[in-house]
Amino acid sequence: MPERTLIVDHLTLTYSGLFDLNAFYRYLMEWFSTNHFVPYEARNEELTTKNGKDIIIELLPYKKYTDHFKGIMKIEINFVGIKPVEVEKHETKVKLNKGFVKIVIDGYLETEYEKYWERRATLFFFKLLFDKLFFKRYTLMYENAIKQDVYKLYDALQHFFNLYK
Amino acid sequence: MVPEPLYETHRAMPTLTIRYSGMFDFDGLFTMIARWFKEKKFWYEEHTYKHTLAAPFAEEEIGMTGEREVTTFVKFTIDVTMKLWNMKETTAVFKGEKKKLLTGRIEIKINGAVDIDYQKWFEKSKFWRIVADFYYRYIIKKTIEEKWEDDLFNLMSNLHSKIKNFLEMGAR
Repeated sequence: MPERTLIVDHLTLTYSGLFDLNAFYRYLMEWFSTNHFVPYEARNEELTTKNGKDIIIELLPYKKYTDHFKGIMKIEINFVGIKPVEVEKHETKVKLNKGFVKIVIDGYLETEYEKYWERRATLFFFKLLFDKLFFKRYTLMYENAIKQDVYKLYDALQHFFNLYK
Repeated sequence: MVPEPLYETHRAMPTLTIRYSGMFDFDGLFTMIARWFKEKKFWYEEHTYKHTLAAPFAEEEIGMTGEREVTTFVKFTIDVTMKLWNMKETTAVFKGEKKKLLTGRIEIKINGAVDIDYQKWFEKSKFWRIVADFYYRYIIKKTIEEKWEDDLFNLMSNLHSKIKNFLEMGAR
C-alpha cells in the first residue's frame, strides 16, 4: 500500500436553492482538466424519492506531481431533494434545479504510488527515512501544492454557487 | 523458477460505479452496452447471467467482458457487471411509445485492465524476465502509463458517461 497522508480534512460547502445540475457537473469536469487533474468518478448514485432526486457523487481526481508524489482529492457531493424548476431569466424560460447540496473535500498526498520501495521491509524503512529526513523539503512542497489545489477548487465551487456575498 | 515481475504487467484501472433507482429501459441499456463494445472494436462476450425470483420481485446479475488487442503485446479488457434488485416489469409510455420498462435498483460496475505481454513471451525463463523488467521500467514505461493506460481509462469513462446519459441521470 502506498503511503497516504491526509492534508486537508473535510472542507465542507453547503448550499440550498436554485442551480443548474448539469452545468455544475460540466464546470467541475472543466476545472479538473484545466488544473491537470485526472477526473476519476468512483461512484455516481441516483435515487428517485417522493421529495425529488437524491444524488451522491464520489470523485477521486488525482494529479501526478512527480514519479514519487501524487496529489489526490476525495470529493463527496450529496444532492438532496433535487427537483426540476422553470425560471424566467431575461424574459426567457430557463430549466434549473432546486434542492440542497453538500460538498465535502479531502486532500491527500500519496508517496511512492508505484510501490517499488515497498517490496521489502528494509526498502520501506529507507523510503520512510528519506521521506521524513532528506526529502522533507520536497514532501512539504507537495503537501502545500495539494493544499493549494483543494482551496482553489473550494473557491471555484463557492464562485459557482455565488456564495461570495 | 521464473521470478515474480518487478513491474506489474496486469495494470488494473480504478472501478467506475453507477447506482440508479427508478424506472429504466433495461433491454435498451443492455443493447446499448453490447453495441458500444462492438463499435469500439472489442471482442465481446457475456459470461454471467443469473436470474433469481424472490416474489414479488426478481434479482438479476449480468456480466460482460470486452477484449481488444492493441498490439500483439498489449491487450485491453473491460468488464461490466450489472446487478439488479427489486425488479418489477411495468408498461409505460417512454419517449412517445408504449414500452415494457423495469422499476428497481441497478448497480453497474466498470472494471478495466491493460495486460502487457499477454501472450507470455517474456515468461519463458529467468533471463527473459529480467530483460522484460528492464524493458518495461526504462524503455516503454511512459507509453504504458501515459498512452495505453490513459486510452483505456478514456474508453471506460466514455462508456460510463454513455450509461449515465442513457439512464438520464442528473449529474452527467
